[in-house]
Amino acid sequence: MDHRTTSGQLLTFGCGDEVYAFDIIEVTDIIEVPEITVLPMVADYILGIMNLRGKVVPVMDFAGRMGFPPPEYDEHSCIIVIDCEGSLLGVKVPRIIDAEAFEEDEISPSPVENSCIKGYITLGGKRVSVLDGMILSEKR
Amino acid sequence: MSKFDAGMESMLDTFVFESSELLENLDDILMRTEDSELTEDDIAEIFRVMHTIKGSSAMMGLKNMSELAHAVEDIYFVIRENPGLECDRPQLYELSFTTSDYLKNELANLEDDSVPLTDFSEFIERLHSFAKYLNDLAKGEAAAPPSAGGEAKAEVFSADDPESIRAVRVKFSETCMMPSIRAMVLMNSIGAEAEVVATMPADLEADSADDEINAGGFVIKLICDEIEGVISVLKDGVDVETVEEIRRTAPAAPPKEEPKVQLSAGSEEEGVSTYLVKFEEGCMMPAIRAMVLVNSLVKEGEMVRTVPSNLETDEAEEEINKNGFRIEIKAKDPDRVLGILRDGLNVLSADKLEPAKKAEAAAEETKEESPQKQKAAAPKKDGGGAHGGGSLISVKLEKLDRLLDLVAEIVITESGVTSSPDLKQFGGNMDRFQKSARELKKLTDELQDVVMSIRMVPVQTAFSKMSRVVRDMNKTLGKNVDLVFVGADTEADKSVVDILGDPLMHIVRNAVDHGIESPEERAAAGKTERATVTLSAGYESGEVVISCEDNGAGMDPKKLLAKGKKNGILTKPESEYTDAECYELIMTAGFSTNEQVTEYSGRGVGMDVVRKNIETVGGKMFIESELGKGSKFTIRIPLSLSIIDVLGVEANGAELSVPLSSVREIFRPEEDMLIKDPGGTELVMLREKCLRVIRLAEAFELGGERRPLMDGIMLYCSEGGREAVIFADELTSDQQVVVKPLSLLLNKYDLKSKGLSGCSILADGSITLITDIGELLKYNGIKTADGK
Repeated sequence: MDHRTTSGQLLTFGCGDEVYAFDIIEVTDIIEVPEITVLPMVADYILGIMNLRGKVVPVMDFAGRMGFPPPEYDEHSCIIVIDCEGSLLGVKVPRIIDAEAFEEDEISPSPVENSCIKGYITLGGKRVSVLDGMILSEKR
Repeated sequence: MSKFDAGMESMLDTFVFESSELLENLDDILMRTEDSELTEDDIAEIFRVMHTIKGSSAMMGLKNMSELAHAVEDIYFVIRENPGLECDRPQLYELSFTTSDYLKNELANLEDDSVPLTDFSEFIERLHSFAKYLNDLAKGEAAAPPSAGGEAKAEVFSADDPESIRAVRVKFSETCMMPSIRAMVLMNSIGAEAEVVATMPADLEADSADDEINAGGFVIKLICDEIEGVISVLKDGVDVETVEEIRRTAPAAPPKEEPKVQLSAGSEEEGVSTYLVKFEEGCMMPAIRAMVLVNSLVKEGEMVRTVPSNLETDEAEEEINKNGFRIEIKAKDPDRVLGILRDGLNVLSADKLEPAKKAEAAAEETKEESPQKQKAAAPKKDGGGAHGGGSLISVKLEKLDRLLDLVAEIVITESGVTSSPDLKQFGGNMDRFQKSARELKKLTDELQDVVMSIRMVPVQTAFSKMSRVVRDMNKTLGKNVDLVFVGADTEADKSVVDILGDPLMHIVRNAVDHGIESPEERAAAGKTERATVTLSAGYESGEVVISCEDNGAGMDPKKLLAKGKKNGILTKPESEYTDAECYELIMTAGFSTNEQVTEYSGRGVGMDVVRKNIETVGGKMFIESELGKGSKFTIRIPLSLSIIDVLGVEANGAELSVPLSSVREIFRPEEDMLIKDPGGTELVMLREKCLRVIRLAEAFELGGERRPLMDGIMLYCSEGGREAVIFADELTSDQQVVVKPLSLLLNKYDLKSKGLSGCSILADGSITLITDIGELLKYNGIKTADGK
């Protein structure tokens, strides 16, 4: 394996006072919150399913998934659609912050196994938690 | 005789197509992983590709391909079993790629009878030695990888080569461009002096040939009168540096003078023995008997040819009656072959022909056979022509998929247009519009039916492959298994039937190989009925249900558990495993109850691949078994394209759709129809029938107020033998929808078994959830009439 650092971009968003990020490679869409059809008999943080250009995509409430109290949603709130190895997942977040360049080796990996947070990175003096989409989606 | 077994012509297209696809897949993986890491999934996939090719080419009677695939499978078996093994990767990839090329080349030439089957035995030797090296490596012994190109001298001669074969190694000068071309020229130039039996590398047109020649020289195995003459011709070749004769390493007896007559008459390969079989005079259809004999010899060695060569012509019968049936086979054990032949049905005599006799027979044959060969070739050509100009065309499945999608959208849009609320403003008189709308609806309905029917094929196509599988296995394993089809005319979407092929083959093989006992064991167990494998197909609540049932030994959950423990695939304490879970173990990767690896069932790749294949299309697999009685494997696959009629209902604010096919009656209840069981269960009396009421809102945990039953609508539903009344607030619509499965990410909630089968996007872009009444009733404890 080579150890060259690979650079990419992180899509950062805020939830509560914390900042989180997805690797932009995983992100396929950022959309306004559409009409969501409620799905019965699922976890509370699964808000339902939405129609994304003809595809039916489940939507998850980020704060709910992380076990945080419900944040305030406003007109800045939106849905980040991530690709989890072929399955799309909408993640509802309170507000998008920015897309920032980063180097792979700047991320300090989290030692916690099976955590939604795969590592931490400091961007602009602020600690950002980098998310693992696969674990977040509970696909595995 | 064509290259593959008689009777398999109809399978050729499928075989070529499927194998090509698999090889494409293999190349993709190899190219993707060559410079990175080979993951577990990749290895499993390569293994699967080779396993499938091994099986299907064996089925076609293409022994050379089957053996080649088997050899590669062995290599990846070692790799799979020893994750993290550091091996000679460049050579691994070279071998893998070459295999892929060889197989592809062989596929491309299959239909052309003028190109003989390639003999891969040398390459297979290389694969075997590489597998051995891997094995040694895995055991921790430091072994040097076998050299890539330079075959050791000992390898040039295989053990069964007769001594009349000589070998020459030619080395070209280092500056020589394209030595493979030079080698080809050399081969032509010695044509007058000798007969070339084989070369190394075998395929001079392969890209790797140049490298192999550069590394190990070009080896020609030949039969000749004077080796010196040949060598001098070779030395005169362009760019030739050295020519040396390769001598056998073993102190062989001085080369015997082969009877010259053999060269002139036979042009036969060495090691071939010839048998003449005569059938009894009263024997009906000797050609068929002959064919059976040929098939029974598959295990014994490589069939070189038969006379008459084409057993399907009318002339063949006459010729066999007149001259007998001649088989030339490269057999490992000629006496055994003779025994098999003599045991054949209606066989009067079977004799091994000695070379002298053979020459005679061959001479006779040249006279007699040549006109017949032409005759046999002629109709084949006609058949080929029909493909080009006939009334059948083959269409890519993707185009049909696209067509179906479009039709589905048209149907939905049509109902959007004709029932548009905007039409209301035009007031009452819309007769002409209504007439046209009705016309349009009729046409779109017909269009939809046609498109659906294009894609519907009977499962027979998948089933009939199995007769062949079972037949061959009966032959080799000595089990007299009857294969019975039930409901083979059940139609399913093409994609579903395609997907079924592979899993069915594995399941049927397992049933015959592991499930059915040997005749002796059956007799010992006092089983008098015939060993039977039953394949059945049918529909049930929008799914195709395929099952394979055998009346064999059944499975012992304890044994499975022990085996699972040994292989380290248990995920929880042994005591917590139920019988059903034990059966499921056999669908786990790395599980196989047979210690022996055979051609028919492998090392546990089978069943987990089966399950994976089925699950990717949203299907499920169930195993039932009873020790001593037999096992039953059931596959349920949704009818993939499902435009269905649904009734839209509202329940506590949520919109749900109920498939119309499940609904028998819609009614508003009268006060006196309602009954309440002392336990609180709500019942409805519908024409002498007492039915349970299932409140949709409660079944789906929608919350909200409990509505009085008099305020809503009731749907009398029945599905799969279960009946109940579904209660909803209001009926909202009646429409056609395309069912889409719910996202894989929601699998863990198991919504399907709770009664939600999927969803659908409506014309206005909103989503409706589609209920599965059968599952809903089952989940809510409604029993079928017979108490299941």
